[in-house]
Amino acid sequence: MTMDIIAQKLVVRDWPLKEPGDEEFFGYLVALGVFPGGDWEGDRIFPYADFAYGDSYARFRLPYDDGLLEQLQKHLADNLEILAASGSIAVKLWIQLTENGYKVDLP
Amino acid sequence: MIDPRQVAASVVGAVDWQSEVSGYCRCPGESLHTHKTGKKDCRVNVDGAPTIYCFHASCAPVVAEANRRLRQELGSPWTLTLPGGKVLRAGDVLQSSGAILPRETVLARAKVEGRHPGEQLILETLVAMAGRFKPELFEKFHWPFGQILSDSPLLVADRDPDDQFRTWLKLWPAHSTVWVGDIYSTGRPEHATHFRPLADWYQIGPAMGNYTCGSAFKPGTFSRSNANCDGTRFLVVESDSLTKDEIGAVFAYLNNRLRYNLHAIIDTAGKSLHGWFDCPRNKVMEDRLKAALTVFGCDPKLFTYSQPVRVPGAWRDGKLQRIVWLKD
Repeated sequence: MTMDIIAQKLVVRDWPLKEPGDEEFFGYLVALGVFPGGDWEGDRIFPYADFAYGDSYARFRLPYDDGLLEQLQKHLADNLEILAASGSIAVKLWIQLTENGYKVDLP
Repeated sequence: MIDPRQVAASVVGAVDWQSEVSGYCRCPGESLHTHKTGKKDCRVNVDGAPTIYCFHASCAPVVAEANRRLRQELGSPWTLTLPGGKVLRAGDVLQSSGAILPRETVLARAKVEGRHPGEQLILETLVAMAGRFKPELFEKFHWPFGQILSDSPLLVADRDPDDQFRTWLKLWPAHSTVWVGDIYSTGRPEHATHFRPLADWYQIGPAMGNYTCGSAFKPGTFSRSNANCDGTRFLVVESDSLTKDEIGAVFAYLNNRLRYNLHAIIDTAGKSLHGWFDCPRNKVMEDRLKAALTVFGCDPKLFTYSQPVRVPGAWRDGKLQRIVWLKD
């Protein structure tokens, strides 16, 4: 099976939330992973999250934040479970950087 | 070779062109308008499926006849050289990016989608047109959150959680089986308890989760899938990019101009409002609405009728998910 999305050049975007108070709607969480690069160490290997919304598909380089990674893993697991149970996914995410870490929420 | 803009002007009179292919014109059915006419209420577009579109509904028969004439007169081949030298042909669509969508691509998409080529052209044109009149739509149908609250035919926003929930249950036909739960309360036999007849929910109240669906389900199901929907459904319109003060324009446009019946507006206790509407009456209308709503900033996935949405009467981080507008 060929999929259009694989044929696209996928730009890895920098993580946009820099300061407490920054927030953004990302879309439906569809993948988490490790991007391999370089000698499998250093700056060229990093965690990422993929989000889809409408016709767009975006990959973000994630910061090394245990709380954020843990919450994203839970939401991705929910999407996989819902996909298996209902034939679709439902978890789309707003993420906010607060003084106490990342707050991940459904709209 | 004919100039499509001259042809359009011969049908609608003087046109204030805003781009090479689209401009404001006097509505051919202006005398039938029942509300004040603004200068930007009517547009004529010559690309794709040539179309005159007016924000008023009362002029629709006259506009439809003018559209028939416009399309007939623009039926012969024409070309238009755009700034930069690109050439637009009859049947091509000028997209908001400035790129030309060639008519051959429209035909290819129709084949892939299993859609009639004429309907595919209308859809592609609709997407381009929706982008063009989006600013006017948000201006003309502006319905900020505060106004929505005060315009509600029934005062509901201050009702307590149980009352909110039971008021919402009244939207449904009496025989409906409705799902209430958390988004993952689906797919296993133990989740059958989240799919109940209305009478059960009246007794239980809003205690089983923060979400519901715009669709009712077949009795006995435990999976929130499209295949298990029973055909009773609402179109729940939402946006993740529009604010509570912006999304009201989309609700008002659907309700007042497109005549989709608005039943209720629900405040999600987060950043958004959900509008509960009657569904499009067929797949063609649904596809057209989906194309336009996506351009306006709505989530195209709202047309997945088993998609979970916030249920009124449930608490979310100390805030109540509540109905803020309810039809009498």
